[in-house]
Amino acid sequence: MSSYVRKLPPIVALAGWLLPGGGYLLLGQRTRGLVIGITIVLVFMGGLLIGGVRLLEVPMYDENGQAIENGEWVREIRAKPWSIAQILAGPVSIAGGVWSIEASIPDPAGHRASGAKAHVRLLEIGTLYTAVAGMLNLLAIIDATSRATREPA
Amino acid sequence: MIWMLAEYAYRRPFLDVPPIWDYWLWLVIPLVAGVSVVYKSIKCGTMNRVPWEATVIFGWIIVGMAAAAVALAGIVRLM
Repeated sequence: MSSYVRKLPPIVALAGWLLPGGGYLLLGQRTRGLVIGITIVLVFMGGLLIGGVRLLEVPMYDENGQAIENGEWVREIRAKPWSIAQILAGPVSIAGGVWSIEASIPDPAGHRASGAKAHVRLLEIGTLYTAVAGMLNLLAIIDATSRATREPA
Repeated sequence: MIWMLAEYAYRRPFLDVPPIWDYWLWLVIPLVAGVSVVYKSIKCGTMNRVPWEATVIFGWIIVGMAAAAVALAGIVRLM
């Protein structure tokens, strides 16, 4: 069964997205998978630490964490293009997005969101970290998938 | 540096922004380190070579970025 799984590149790609480095783990390349996965997650978390979780702009949600009714997906994604690169980092970006929405909702008493929005420079650097993490994971997914096709039967 | 860490200890990580506005330039180092490690982990045939090769490419990226910064600063001053 395990050798069958190794021959399926889509499953390797999915594993790589679900868990950064997971594609390599599925192929039995434990060290490579762990090093790549831990590094990608650290870069992503580093970005959130630098710019705050609110740097993750979730399409179809506004600045106050409210769902945009009747919004157009294409226009929303065009307005928040970094979300494309960020989502490539895997479920950690989805969890971060959910946290970002929660942190954006203004407190009814203080009329202030629980999460602070970073100023321009740190916001840019944090966004860059998270986007680079996503792009690195894409690179790892492509490489793991390619290795899966080269695995001996 | 110590006061900076002490101040950060009172803040809420991920919800507040750390007081590192004056040190933003140094943030390039962890990012380049991460890119170097992942890139070389993908490229190297065996993982034993990764530490050294990642260190070398890390150095080259930093030197290259510094050289580009100096060159661009020179161009800006000339113009």
